[in-house]
Amino acid sequence: MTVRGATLRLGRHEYPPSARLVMAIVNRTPDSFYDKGVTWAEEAALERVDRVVEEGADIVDIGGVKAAPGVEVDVEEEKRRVVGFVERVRSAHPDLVVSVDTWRSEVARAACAAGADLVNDAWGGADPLLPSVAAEYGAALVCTHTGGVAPRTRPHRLEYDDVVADVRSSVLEQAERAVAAGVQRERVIVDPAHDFGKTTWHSLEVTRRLEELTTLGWPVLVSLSNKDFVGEALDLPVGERLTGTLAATALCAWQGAQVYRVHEVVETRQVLDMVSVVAGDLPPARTVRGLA
Amino acid sequence: MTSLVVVPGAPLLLPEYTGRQDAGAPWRQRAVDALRAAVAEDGAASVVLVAATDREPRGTRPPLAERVGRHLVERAGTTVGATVVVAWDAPVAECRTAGERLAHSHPGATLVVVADGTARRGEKAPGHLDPRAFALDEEVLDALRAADPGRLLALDPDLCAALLMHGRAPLQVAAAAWAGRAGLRCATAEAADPYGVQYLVARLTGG
Repeated sequence: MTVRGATLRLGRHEYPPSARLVMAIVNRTPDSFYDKGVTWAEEAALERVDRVVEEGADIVDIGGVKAAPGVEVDVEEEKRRVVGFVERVRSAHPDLVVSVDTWRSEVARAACAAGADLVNDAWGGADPLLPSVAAEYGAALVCTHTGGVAPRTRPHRLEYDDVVADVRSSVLEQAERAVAAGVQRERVIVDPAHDFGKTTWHSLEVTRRLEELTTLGWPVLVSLSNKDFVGEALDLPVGERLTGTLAATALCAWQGAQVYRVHEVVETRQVLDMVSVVAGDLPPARTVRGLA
Repeated sequence: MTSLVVVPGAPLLLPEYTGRQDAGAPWRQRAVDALRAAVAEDGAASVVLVAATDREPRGTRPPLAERVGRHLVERAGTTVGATVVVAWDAPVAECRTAGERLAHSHPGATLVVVADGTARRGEKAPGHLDPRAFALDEEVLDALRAADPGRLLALDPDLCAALLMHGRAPLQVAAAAWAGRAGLRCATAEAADPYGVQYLVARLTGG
């Protein structure tokens, strides 16, 4: 049988290949596509952190710049949005894994100094100094496939011979580069990055063939939550994509993805636990039926 | 002094059927406590297990009741020296014979009887609700509290079967083994039906 996944270390935690972790999105942005600024205010964002921890999130992913094109956010503004907040979350939740969603090494450096455990480089190595910052702070790093597009741009008329092959070679190269830069091997995660540099056809193919990525020897993160590929698959707008998101989540979970970056924690946790229970990776919560 | 201990036979007491929450924990603990007390009092190195066959056998493994009994005995830090498995629906005469043979082959042994009451004590019970279940279970519990083998031997096999009582035959085997002994008394006897099945933990002692 093919070995899926890998041991993953985040902060002080160590997770086996069979673990399925929830990474809750916490936006310090006024304009993100899904929440439209609901946690733009620091207190609201902190309340969201408290709530998602209560709901079973293992990781919070704090971002200060929306992924889509929009108002320019420079390094200083991005730092203003995330660094102090990372520090507050760190002190309020000492055991929580804190991730910072940034492609900029200056921001990553300040966030790691403030206590971040994980740098989520959602733009696929756009800043070549990022791995060495993660290494310097003993942080983990997410290596993503974007097809080489520039940060905050949308794919337009991109075509791959084989999108999964392109993902595989890109993330493997980034992962090895991260290790060469000094990031611990068990702190490197790869993310095929649904929608990033991809049409819906590409994201669907990555989902269908995810096992080709979970068997590479690196933990796989998937970020599916309410994305356009779900919307286009079902012809549904943002706000009506939860069921589709959860179906894709279950398929990725069955194929061995280990981290799920999501808006809805409760529903995701249930889906992941259900898959884990069916897979035999987790005992059922309580078993009385036919056994009393 | 020798003891007779009645323990539940619910499969959820087995580790292999336990979920992340241990639904049978309180009853496993009560049974283990009673077994420990009996073994300590008797100074026994091992016990004799009396259990019924599965009511609905589907596989080839030993009966669930036997496996649950063995697990509880081992949890209590002792071992099963001999096992008597009786058909769950064995006629009373057959139970008597088995009990008399047991008294002869293992005189003075600590007996561990895997026996539950009815399984029809509510609408969500395995056998749904049958109001007759309550009186039968009360009779069994009273007989144990009175340490009266005769009352256990008087239980009606047809009624017990109709109410899905999975403990009548092993109780009657033990009762026959103990019939006629002097100085029988009940040290503890408790019952509850958390899942619509009457669980019993009892410890009887005899001279």
